[in-house]
Amino acid sequence: MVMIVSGFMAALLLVIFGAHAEASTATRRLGRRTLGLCLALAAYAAASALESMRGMMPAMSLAADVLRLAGAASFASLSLGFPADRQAPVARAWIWGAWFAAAALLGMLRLGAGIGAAPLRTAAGLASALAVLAASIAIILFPDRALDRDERPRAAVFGMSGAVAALAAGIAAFLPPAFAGPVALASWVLLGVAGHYAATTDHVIGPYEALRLLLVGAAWTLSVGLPVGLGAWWIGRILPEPSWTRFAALGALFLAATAPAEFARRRFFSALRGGRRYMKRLEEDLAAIDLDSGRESVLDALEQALGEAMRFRDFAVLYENDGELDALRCPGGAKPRIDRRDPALEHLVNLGTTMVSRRRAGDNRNYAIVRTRLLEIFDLLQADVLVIAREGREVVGVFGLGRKLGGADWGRYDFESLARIYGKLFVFAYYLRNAARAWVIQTVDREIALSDQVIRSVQQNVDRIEHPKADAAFVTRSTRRLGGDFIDFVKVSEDRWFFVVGDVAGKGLNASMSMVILKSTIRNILKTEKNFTRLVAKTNAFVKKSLPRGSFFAGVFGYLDFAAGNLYFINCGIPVMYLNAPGFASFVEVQGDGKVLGFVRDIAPHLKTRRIALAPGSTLAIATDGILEATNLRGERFGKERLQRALAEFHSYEASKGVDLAVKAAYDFGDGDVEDDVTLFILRTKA
Amino acid sequence: MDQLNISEKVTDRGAILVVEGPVNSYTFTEFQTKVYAWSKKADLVIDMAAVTSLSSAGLGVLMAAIDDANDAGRKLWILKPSEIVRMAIESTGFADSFAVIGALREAF
Repeated sequence: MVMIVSGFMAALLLVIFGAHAEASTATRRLGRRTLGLCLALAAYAAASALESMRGMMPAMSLAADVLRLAGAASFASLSLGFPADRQAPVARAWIWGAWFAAAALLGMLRLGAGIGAAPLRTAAGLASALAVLAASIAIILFPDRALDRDERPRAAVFGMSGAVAALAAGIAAFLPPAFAGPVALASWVLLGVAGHYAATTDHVIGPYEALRLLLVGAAWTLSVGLPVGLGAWWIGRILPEPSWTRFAALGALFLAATAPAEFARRRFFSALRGGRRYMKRLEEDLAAIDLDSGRESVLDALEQALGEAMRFRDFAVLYENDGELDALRCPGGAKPRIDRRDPALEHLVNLGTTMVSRRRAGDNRNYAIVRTRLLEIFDLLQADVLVIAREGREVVGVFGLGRKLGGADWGRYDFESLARIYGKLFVFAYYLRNAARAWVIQTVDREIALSDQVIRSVQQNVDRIEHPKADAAFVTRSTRRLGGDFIDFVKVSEDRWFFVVGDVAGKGLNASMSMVILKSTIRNILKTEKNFTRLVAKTNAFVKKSLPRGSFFAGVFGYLDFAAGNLYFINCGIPVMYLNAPGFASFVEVQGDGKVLGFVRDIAPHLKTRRIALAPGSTLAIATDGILEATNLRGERFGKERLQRALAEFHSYEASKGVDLAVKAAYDFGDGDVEDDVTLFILRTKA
Repeated sequence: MDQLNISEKVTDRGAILVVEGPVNSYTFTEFQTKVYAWSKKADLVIDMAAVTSLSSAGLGVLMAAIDDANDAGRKLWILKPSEIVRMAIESTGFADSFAVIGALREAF
């Protein structure tokens, strides 16, 4: 027991010692090798101790073999970087899988199950062997899934198999004396947790992370492994002889333990595993940043908000400036400059990547062809995570987030959080780019100019409809505050345009950010999703899952096909869609029923794709609700009828003049005071 | 009426929020705070008979509150919505998902 504890304590001390190793790759590698050696020694110490207990506990013999293999695997994986850095994740997954498989095979042979006639020595040992066999099969069969799952794929796999191992160890602990089992179990779990974490990170484990994971292991031991072990001990008392009945009873106990284990995981461990939760506070802090306070203040506030939440060391920001990415802020006062067409950034854009960690850049095969350059950029910005703010294929800015304080890892929660605030970071990148342009500051009203400039830049960045058979124009006005209206056109072919017109519900900057995020997201979805209905369904899922609570989108998605003279559209709550075709007496509503996006999780059953023939001479008008809600001093709304009349009145004008006059009519009606954003799009088809 | 007034009544069967005035860019935060505060912890009736306007952000709050209430196993009713509220609800296309009632006794 002393050897087990001392071996483990030695490992822990070296883990903590390693955390203070500084950031250079060589030092970290040395730290990892030290840790690997330490784990191997600890495993051998534990194995020796367990072996000495074989007289009392036959199952400990199996445990000793497993620990020896674990030590060897840890050492090989961590110390030697087996077999080469690029293939390290795959190799490690296989070596761990092989370890489990070997342990299982060894257990089978030792127990006699593999050679038929020999009796079972202990049913508990077989249960352990089956458990590790199941884990090994899972890992060997699904290495790709494990590797691509998230930023810490092996952590996910071993998190699951760790639970299995804890239960198996609990079963193995049923033999007397009463204290030996729990101690052995604790060693298993703690060693396993430390080893698994060490194997899943490029960083040396930080004290906070090490402590947190040790607590998780201890909690598992106390709440799941130990009760199961005691249960198994009790079964051993009432069924003393090895038998299939005893095996079945232990199996039932094992299965029954999964329910409280799942309960414990949900109620207690998720918080422990995930560490500090900061998302809500971070969103509030970002929303509170005043864009009118000046570029440096905005940068300071942004760095402070992100730094306090995610606790990283260095912060770098690059912004687009005449085709280059210039540093606004960089550790050490450096002023690196990167070509916006840098092959590494281009590659990230091609992959649709918005954020990437140094770790992923180093070992994911998707980045293999630009790995060297990408890692240079990480070094240049002293960053562990890069966030690429881009609209379509245009990189607007790059944020570099440095190493975490205390040597902690960038974990899954961090990346989920970054994904959630990505749109806000995008807006800040847009702001910083525009704020850096002096003419904006000098010539536009300070009160809302910068924010408005951000929004306008996004709103105006569309593939305008320029086709011999079409005369199209639109107006988007955000009144007093930043708005959530947006309109977007994407040219699909010479004769076809995809478009979205709508309004993202919300208030002020948040609505604007949501609008920017959504516009960018729809363009990204459009690149890969060719099915119209699925595109809208995916957009709905994004609004529901990723935009702030209470956000929804009311608008319309459409495809214009000028060659065939058709409009295909899905109404998602657009309030106004009028058509005046040859033979019509006036503008008539054509939008039909529609459901807003972001309310239900699955919108697909509610979606209807409609088609309208756009004969030459037709006029299509689409508007968001702002124009209808213009209200005069008597409290009367501009409404649909007045809009219909205005459209009819200006029907003979060109589209560009028609939209201006119709919007002016609404503003005149509301005495210039229109509460909501106004968007109006008019399309006239020509022969 | 330019001011938003929200009064709260708590009964043994749930809470009642009586909302009067405009729910717009200026008043939206108070509306959001009170609706979110109650939607998870009690069955909630929101009396919207005297609401003079409802911005999209306000409508979003109602939608999120319905979600919250469903997730928490609570109920949320909208009592006698004004014409403007009714139109806003219908504009979502999900009017069936809003439990609109004409009298308090239909809820409690």
